[in-house]
Amino acid sequence: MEIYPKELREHPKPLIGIIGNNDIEEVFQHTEFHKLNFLHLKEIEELPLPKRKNILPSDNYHLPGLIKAKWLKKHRDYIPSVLINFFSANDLINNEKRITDEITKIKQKTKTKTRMYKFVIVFLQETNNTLTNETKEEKLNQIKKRIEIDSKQGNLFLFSLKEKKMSSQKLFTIINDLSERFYREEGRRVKKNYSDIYSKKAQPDLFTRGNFKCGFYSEARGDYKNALKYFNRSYKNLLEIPKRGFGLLEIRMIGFVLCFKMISLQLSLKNIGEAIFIFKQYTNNSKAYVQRGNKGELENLIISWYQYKLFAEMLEKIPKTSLSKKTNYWESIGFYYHAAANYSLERKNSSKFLIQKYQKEFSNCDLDSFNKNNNMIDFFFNIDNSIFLCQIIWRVRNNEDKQLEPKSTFKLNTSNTELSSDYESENDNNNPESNSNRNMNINNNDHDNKKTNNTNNKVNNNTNKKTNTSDKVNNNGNDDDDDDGHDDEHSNVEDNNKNDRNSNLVLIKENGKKKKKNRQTISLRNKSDKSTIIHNSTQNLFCFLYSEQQFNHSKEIIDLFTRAYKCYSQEAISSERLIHSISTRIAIAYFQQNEFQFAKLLFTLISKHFRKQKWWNELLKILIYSLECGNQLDDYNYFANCALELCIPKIGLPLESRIIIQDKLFKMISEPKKNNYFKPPIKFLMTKDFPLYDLIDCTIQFTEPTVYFNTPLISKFSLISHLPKAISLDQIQILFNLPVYDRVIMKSPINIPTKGKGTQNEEELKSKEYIITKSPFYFPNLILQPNKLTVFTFQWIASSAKKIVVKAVRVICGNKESGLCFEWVKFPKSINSPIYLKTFPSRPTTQILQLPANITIDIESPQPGLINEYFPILIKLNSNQDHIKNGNFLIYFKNHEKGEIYHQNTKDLLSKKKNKIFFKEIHPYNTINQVLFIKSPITGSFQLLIYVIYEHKLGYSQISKTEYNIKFSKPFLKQYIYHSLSKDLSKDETTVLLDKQFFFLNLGLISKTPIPININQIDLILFDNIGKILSKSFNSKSGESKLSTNNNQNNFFKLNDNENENGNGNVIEHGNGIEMEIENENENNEENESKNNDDNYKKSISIKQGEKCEVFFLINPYKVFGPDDNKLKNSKILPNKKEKKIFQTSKKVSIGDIKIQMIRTNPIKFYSYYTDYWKKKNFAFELTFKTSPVEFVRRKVTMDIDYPSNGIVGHPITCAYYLHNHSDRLQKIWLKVEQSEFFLYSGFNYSELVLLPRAIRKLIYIFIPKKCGKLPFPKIQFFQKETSQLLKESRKNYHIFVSPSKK
Amino acid sequence: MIVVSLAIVGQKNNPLYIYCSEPENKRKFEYIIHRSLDFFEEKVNSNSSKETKSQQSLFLGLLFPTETYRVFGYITNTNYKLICILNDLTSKNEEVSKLLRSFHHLLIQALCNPFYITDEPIDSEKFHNGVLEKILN
Repeated sequence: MEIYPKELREHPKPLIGIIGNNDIEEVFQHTEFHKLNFLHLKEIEELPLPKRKNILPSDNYHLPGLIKAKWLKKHRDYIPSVLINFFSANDLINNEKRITDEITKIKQKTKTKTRMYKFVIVFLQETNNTLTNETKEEKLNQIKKRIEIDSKQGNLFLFSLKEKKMSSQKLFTIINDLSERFYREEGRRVKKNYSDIYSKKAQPDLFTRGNFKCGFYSEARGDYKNALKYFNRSYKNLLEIPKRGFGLLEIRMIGFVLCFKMISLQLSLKNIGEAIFIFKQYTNNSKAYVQRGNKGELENLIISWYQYKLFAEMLEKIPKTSLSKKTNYWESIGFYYHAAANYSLERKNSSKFLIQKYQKEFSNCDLDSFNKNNNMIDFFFNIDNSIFLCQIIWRVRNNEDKQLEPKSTFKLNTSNTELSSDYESENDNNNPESNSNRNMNINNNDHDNKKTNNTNNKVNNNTNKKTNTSDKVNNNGNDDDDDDGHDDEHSNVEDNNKNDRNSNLVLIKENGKKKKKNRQTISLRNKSDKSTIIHNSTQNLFCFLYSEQQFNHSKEIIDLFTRAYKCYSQEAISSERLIHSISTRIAIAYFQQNEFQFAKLLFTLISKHFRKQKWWNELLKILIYSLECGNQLDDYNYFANCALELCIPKIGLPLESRIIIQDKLFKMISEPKKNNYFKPPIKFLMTKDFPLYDLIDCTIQFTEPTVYFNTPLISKFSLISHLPKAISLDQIQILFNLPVYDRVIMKSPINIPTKGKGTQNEEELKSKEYIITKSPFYFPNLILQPNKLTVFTFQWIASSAKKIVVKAVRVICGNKESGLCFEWVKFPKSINSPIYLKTFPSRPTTQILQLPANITIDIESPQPGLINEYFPILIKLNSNQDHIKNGNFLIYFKNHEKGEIYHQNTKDLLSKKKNKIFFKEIHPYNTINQVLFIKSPITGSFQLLIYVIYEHKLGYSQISKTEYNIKFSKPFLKQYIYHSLSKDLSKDETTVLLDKQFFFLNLGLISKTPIPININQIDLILFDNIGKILSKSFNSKSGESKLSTNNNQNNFFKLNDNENENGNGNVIEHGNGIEMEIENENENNEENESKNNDDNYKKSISIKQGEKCEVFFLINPYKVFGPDDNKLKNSKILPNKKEKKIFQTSKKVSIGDIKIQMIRTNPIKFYSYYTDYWKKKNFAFELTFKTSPVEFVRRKVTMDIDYPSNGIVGHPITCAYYLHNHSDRLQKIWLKVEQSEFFLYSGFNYSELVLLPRAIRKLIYIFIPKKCGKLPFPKIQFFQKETSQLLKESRKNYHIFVSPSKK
Repeated sequence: MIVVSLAIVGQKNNPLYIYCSEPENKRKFEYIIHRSLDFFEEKVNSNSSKETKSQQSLFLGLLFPTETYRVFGYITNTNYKLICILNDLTSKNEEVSKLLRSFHHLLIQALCNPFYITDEPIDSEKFHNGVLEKILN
């Protein structure tokens, strides 16, 4: 904005001239005085007066230039609308005549023939003045009448210092009114002149000027709408001007000024849309005014850059609220900055081109002189005669607008209303404005002859006179023609400029037949400055180019792009890509400014976007710059990254460039540079940010997108390397969603297509087969040649029933010599192949191999199985004739979740996941038996699917699919126990037993299990040696309710051989348990085996459902009541009297545990496969329970008998009876001896005995046998007197064998 | 109505086909095409509230004008974008819409080609000839 001239940038303010050096600070106290500009004039003579020119109205008259540059400045800064002169109010009375003369003089001076200045005479009334206001006003009225002052021209005002504010306000109103009147009159006058004299169609240039002036006058008086109207008319007139070659640039520049005037007015009125429309209109129209040729194009670029930048700055100054919602491209400020930046970029290129074009001539020029004199403006001046053009372009190019600002103005400080005079003389040789004004004065004038010198040229400096040495050239500012026939004299300012002329170039433009001439006027002062004179257009061009060369284009471009970037970023319009492209431009600009580090950073950031969206051309550009950045910064890794990326064909780098980059890259990699080696490895990890192209292209092709279970699947894995050099492939890893690659059984024949040139390695590789068992696959010594396709063929057998997805393919390869290493990962999005594998195990198969094998499956165990029993399954595979190998036989199970399957040989538990068994081959005419055991901990029905499958690389065969329903049930035995003194269960006997009395424990079992139960062993384990099991017997019978009798006993079960030999009948003793055996059909066949085997595993008895069996145990409970009392006595020397010994009469106890072991009923045919492990464990069920309690009654008196086992006839036999009193009381016993026919004895038949407490009494009887043979002893009965209870012996009948006497 | 450039941009905003009548200005056109994607997004987002898309709504009209060109957009239901740059500043929407529809038909035929790989640049000669025919006629 600063580069735009102030007179165009700001709205004009009415200019007020103040005559004299009076102290007037107090007068301008009103705040609205800042709306006015002030000009200080020492005397009334300094007032510039218009000069009259004798221009006749003519249709042929055309302006030499459309608008003079100084016109605006002149009317803003030098021509006042109102003149103010100050007098003391006292003079009204004291010096009335002098005042009258002064006013008359002012009146005459301000009223010219064409222009009527306004004036205000202010009488300052001091506070101590004694005269009243009324008398003074009367005086004023008198003077007014006397001098005949018209109120339209001037006024007299009495300023009371007493009432400063009020007076100040009144004074402002008067001045403002007069000022407005002045500008209105000026406008009317100009308008009248044009409309009266000239033709609109024939002379649009004159109307352009006229309307422009009218617009300016309207603007000056604050009437913006009228100003817009006139400027618009002026612009329309401008467009009607015929496009002459030499005037194109001038027309364009005037249009530029007019449009920006209108734009600034519209923006002041807050009509942003209108302002944008005007700008668009102007830019469209201005295209017609572009001059042809390099110079013209360059000019156009400069102007375009300038206008866009200026407009953007103007929009930016508007409060943000009015531009908050941007829905249109044209409403975006960023757009204008962006356009300006683009033009700036083009301008840079164009100027570079021109400099190169004129390089030779340009180098011969004295460039220093251009710099010193800054005379490049002459170039434009020679081309076109526009003063405005010169002014604007010169200022634009040099950015020295500040020096152009008029300084002879009063600046009013609105805050303290102080009026300060900053007026300085412009007689400054170094002031560039003087140069510009000098040039402004150089107008080719085809009315030189008609010119009349200004008669008012009184104030000209002497120096000025000296410089006017040439009569032909009017160097005086008053020489300027004005189309209205007037010129203004402002000699004090302009004439001083004349002193500064170092060189003067006068171009006489030919209008029609007139020739253009350059005239030089060399000032006296600078005659010695010989090198600065530029006298022809070529030199002007060089000057211009020199200036272009000095201009920092990159800085300007960066600045504009950065501004555009900021604006776009802040605005609501979506401009993501635009921002990226602007960022690219910024980065390039930084690069061109040799700021490589920052450029590299920017390029790295931007490249992601283009890479992601595959805009290869943009990326190519960025990469090339990035490459150079890396090179300049000696960042080898970065350089190599960029170079490799550029080598990829998709990027689209031309082949030649590609080769160059490749060579450079490998040179850099292999050779040390500045003691710095390339740092291996470079990792090209194709992550999400870098997924778009491939250094190594990869495709995976599967034969089918969906495959069945165990179907061989062929996949082709093709690699093509875009790397510039051959690299060795180290490993390939195909990553699946599941670790199924563990199951890959394959091999990889490697096929290298014949298109490429064959190498030794290829031939070698063809013959090789790599057996792959696990991913990653290693390929030693495999070399990927650049740009040659290498194909690997894999065969897979999918061993998983789940969906398989290839997640990624990873290739690791490297070049050992250079240390270059690539880790390349490709994700499935970019893999162009059907990568989904599905397996359907339950689907019917179609590719079944014909195998010469018969497979049979036997289930050896009867249904149902018992829980916790090993339920065996035998699988037999028979091969009829062939040797089946090179494949896998696979057996697997399903739906056995509730049970456990054990493998026979390995004894491993086959879990749910590892439910497969493999075996490799079957020999011809041979059978493979596989035994499995199923064990279920719970009851229920199980469905078991057994698949037998043969897998081979060529196919597979589902040999069988067997479905079984296995029921597992619990073996259930209902048991009952009772105790009796005899085995005959039909007799009713009490369960109350005397101690030490022999009794039978009867165990009855009834089977409720649906399958026959084999009872292998029944054990009775007595507690703490409570007694002794004397014998056991077993009785079983099929039937419902009745218990078995002794009749069928022997038929039902068979006793052990060893026990039979004992000759104890059906009662056997074998440890604490009883073992049973039934007759077996295979007994004889397996006799030998059974002998070798453990004895525990061969005997059992079967009980079918509903059958009952009984087991008898004859028990002598001799320790039911604890230790013997005698022993206690013996152990203690003296009995403890205090010890209370309670005689326990009865006790109810369970005598022990019964343990029943059961196994399956039917023998297992294939038990030969069993190992020891299984034999030991082969019982189905074990039942353990306690016996029911028995009540034992203790006797108070017991009797024992001791007698010999044999005797001799006639020889006495001694027999002893022991009576034992267990109680603590006396016991009376009756004794009765019966008579016997076999024995002789002496003594009482009846007697009474008394037993002391806890005493034992021994009774001895002597018997003499009379006969020989087995003879019963005579009965001796003992009765307890209290209860008359017979004391029983241990045995009922006692016999003795009597042998005859020896004779 | 002079078509100076025609571009087809894929679903992921990647260029599939770019035709330039002035090869020397290819960069410039590419820049305009790339820039126009912003306007596509803006227009599509603003129209996303509308439930139904008629055939007419595929044609987005004038995306933005530059100083010398006018850029028109057309988006297919499958999110392929057709960008047409015209030299004629007075061209009518109806004509351009008709032209872009015809390009759309050509695009469908090209995409149906079994040898065409999705998201890869279209290098079908038939398609190119079809485009040239439409442009020149």
